[in-house]
Amino acid sequence: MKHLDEATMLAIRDGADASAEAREHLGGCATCAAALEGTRRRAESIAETLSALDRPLEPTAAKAGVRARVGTRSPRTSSRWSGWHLGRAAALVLLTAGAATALPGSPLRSILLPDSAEETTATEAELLDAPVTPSSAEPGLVDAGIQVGLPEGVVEVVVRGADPGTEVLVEWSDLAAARVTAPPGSRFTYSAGRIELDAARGEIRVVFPRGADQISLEVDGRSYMSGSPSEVEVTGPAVERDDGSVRFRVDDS
Amino acid sequence: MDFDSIFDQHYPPLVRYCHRLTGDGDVAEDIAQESLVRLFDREVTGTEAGMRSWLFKTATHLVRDRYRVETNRDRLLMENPFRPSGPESPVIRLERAEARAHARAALDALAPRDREILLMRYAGFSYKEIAGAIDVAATSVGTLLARAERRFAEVVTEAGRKAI
Repeated sequence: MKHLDEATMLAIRDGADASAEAREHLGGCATCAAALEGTRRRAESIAETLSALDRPLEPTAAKAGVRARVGTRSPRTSSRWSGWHLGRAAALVLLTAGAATALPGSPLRSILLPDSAEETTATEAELLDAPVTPSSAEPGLVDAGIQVGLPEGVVEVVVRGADPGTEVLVEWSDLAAARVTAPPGSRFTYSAGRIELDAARGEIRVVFPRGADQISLEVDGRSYMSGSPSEVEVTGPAVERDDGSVRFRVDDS
Repeated sequence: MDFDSIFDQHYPPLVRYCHRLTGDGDVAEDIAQESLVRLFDREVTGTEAGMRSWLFKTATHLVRDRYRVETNRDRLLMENPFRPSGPESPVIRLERAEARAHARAALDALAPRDREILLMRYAGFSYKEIAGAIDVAATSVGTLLARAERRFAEVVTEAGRKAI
């Protein structure tokens, strides 16, 4: 076996997953053992260097300030953790199902991707019917998301309730599906080729498939972008744009 | 866990992370407090690790929003120089300032995502937790971290040479 690469060494150093083969090699290779020791010394040095940036903290006033602010804002949408978590779990089911529907011949296609004429919607309340127990194995909470296939080659994303200043990042992907992720508390309604989002405060991320014939993004009644992926027309308040993404910042207009 | 326990446990490391990320102690405290307010407002519960990941991820997004334009961050750094909490000798003050400058220069040399990964790792996060918080594949964390560490160490070494 050739010598371990640096990423593998760091994984061993940091207690992350590393193959038994790599660990075995390390036991018999003085070169790699020395290199691993070098990464440990480097970690100590980095930790010490970073500590120079720290400063003493007096959290008493901060605690009082946070306590006073909690509960003073009324969220626009329901954001109960239990409900949100169940919604997220249901969305994950949909994500998996969405991927399955991308497979030609998948029996899930006819179940989960209704005819466009027969629009099916599912509010968060309906999705919450699935009795899902939060898993302690989850490392943390992430934005809620939903993904739909595009049986007609058309993808429409409609966003409502985005505050001025909200950033909407649009990216392209090679997946045969469109995806929208948004902060916890957001509500999704979907049908084949269409996602509607009632957004909670925070960044919204939209992923359009490059293989779509037509895409469109509308935010609070205003068209932000539309057209085919190769000739998309951007009409929204874009603040950054490159070949792979467009970032919009919602303005007051 | 009650309010006090959650605050006491998560606030100091969250401020430290934000401060290292932004270079601005006041902004770091603002963002840490806003993250905690959101945690309590949304009644987020779960495992201790889950709450920590949620807080760090929220804070990371808030920092990204705040410093979306790089020049804005530079301006804030100019406007918010580090203020020592007590009297120090000129020599110690100079050494500390130099150490901070080296650390800051090294962090600034990293791409934003690499910086976040490095700081989360040195805040004690596992690769899996980092992947969840930064939205990268868990299998990529080692490679990205290796690149970040290498670059960080190079810049610190180079800065040290110039200072001699």
